[in-house]
Amino acid sequence: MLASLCWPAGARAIEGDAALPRLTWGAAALISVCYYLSQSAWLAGLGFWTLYRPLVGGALVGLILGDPWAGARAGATINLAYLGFIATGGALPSDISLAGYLGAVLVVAGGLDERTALALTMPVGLLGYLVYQVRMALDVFFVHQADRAASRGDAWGVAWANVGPPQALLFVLSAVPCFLGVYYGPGRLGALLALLPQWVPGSLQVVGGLLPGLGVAMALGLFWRGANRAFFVLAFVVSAVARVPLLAFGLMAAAVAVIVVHLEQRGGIPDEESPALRRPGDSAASAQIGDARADGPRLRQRDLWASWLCWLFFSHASYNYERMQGAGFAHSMIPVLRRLHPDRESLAEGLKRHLVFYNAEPNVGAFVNGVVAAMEEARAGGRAISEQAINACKVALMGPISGIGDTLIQGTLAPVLLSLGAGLALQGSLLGPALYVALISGTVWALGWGLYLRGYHEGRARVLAGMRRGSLQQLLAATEIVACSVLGALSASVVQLRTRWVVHAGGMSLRMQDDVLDKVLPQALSLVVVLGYLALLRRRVAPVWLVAGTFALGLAARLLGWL
Amino acid sequence: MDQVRFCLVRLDDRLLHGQVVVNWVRSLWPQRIAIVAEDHTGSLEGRAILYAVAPEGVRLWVGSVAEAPEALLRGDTPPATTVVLLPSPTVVIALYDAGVRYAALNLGCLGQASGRVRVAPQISLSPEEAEALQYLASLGVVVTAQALPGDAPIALDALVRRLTRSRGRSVSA
Repeated sequence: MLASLCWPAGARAIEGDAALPRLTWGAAALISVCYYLSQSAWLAGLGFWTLYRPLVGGALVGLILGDPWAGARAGATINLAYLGFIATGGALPSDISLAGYLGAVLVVAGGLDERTALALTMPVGLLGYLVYQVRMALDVFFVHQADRAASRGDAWGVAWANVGPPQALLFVLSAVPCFLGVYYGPGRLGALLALLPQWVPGSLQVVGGLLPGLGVAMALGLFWRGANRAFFVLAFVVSAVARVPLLAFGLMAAAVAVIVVHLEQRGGIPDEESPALRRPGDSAASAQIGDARADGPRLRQRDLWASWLCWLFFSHASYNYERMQGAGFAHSMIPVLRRLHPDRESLAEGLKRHLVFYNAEPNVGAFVNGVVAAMEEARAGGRAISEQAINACKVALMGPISGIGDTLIQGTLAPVLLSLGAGLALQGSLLGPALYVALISGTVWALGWGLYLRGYHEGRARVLAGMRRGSLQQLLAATEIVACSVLGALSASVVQLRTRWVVHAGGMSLRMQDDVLDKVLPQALSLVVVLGYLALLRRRVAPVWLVAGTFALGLAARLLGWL
Repeated sequence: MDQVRFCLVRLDDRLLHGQVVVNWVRSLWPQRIAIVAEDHTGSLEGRAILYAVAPEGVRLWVGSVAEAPEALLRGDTPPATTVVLLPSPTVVIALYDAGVRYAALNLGCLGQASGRVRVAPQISLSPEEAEALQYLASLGVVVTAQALPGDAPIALDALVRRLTRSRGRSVSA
């Protein structure tokens, strides 16, 4: 039924007037709903990791409009430009999702090539960012609604204030602009482009060919140290000379990385001061937590499961500048508090206790929810765990745990998996987005539930210390090697730059690309582009300026006939 | 005494969170992160946690304001490769008064609390705190708000203007 609703729409869009393609309203609405879902609370914590990414959004647009391959290719191209996208601590660099959906529509329905679409949608990210800021400011209102519900001891009221109105507001703020852009955008843009002189689309194409290089450089900057750099160069040369399929390449890199990490047995640099792991206060607290399970009301497995699910779905449902995930955290404590406090007064107290400022990386951060559930259980069991102790625990843990979570997922796993997925999609395989979605979803869910349970059962510092000293560091080291290798291979295959420059000297003409560069190192220019961006980024040139500079350079190079 | 150029001096009440260990550390690649606590034992009861999450390849120092001048200015890691994290405006001033005369201060995160007004997405300031920062600026310290390395820095003057504007509004209302 879904197919019959969408595919004729796509077909009509493609058959329509080439200069003024327009989607049916059904297709445009479906795409807008996907964009809304990418930021919504309805996808079990996966929206930000899957539908938000242009790689996945592009494939979906393609599916809706009848050509998933073209959509995935467009999404992959756009996603590569945003490989260095990392939104930490509630600071969003730009909205990459809207650019992905709109860009894919321009390609699949509007018939533009991917690079032009990428260059054209770059400013759209700024519009999306504006919407994000408006939403973060307006959601403050609903948190105060949650406060009022909490003081009545009304758990459902808190949950509703966290999810209902904020998500409705988000729908209006996201789906409506997206619908207008997707429905009217391709036609208007097509008409506009037709009016412009020939060299404008040409130079946009050059710019769109360079921007993935910026994304690759930004991601590369995350890992650019020590021997990782050698792996990048090695991978670049191998894939510039011999065309190895990217997935095979990634597996090879993973194998090499495991060998290297195993041989190195990385010990890390010792701290200046030995970590004070024996803290009297803390061991006492965890002993208290342990003992408390004997008496008082006890949490059942399904309470923990429900608490984690509430967190997984609704942690960011009413994300706002005043309390960030405060209402989300309170929401995740509802199943716990309802079990422990049958009376309204203490339920109200518990709800109010958790409606304070809170902000953590949600997946690894589920650990904190587990710890707090255990503390609540102990408190209800009559142990002397004060309200302040619970809050102090959250405050002490939320920053550092986000440090681990962001390093692991946004800073390492996501760029690697996205690079792999985008590379595969550009080689014409839908396995790219599919593999990405499967791997990232598995990671997010398994980590979240696993760490929630460990937090509940084991308490805090011990697990974190174990993670640092043990397998986590080795996993990160190995992943960095894979990342640099995949980025090297991508630089050679994706950043397409060939010069048309011909030198005339003494009656001879020398074509720089064919006669000189290709004989030394094919794709040498791509390497120059990526390393050039990287050098500028390390000199702390802001990415916005790099994008602006790329536009200027693209125009100039096209007009002068170099590219 | 001359001012010292550190790799980064950041006021951030969340200390070692994602913005610091991912965005800043991986764009500045410091050799050391120094966290200056208000009081050596009390306010940082989660020290073991900090050691547990410090990024790999970077040394971590945690200590009090009194210990800071020795460790930051005369330790074996030069200031230019040290990122200094400060949890509160009080520490920011105390550290400067203790003789660590840093040349620039980055305002990272300062959460909402009573008496504070939000002046940038991640920064809330009380009038007293704003005054203290202006005092630093009058001594020649460049004070700007910047969440991530790629963001455009916001000058202290602009933050103070927002503070006075919103206070004016609340007084008239």
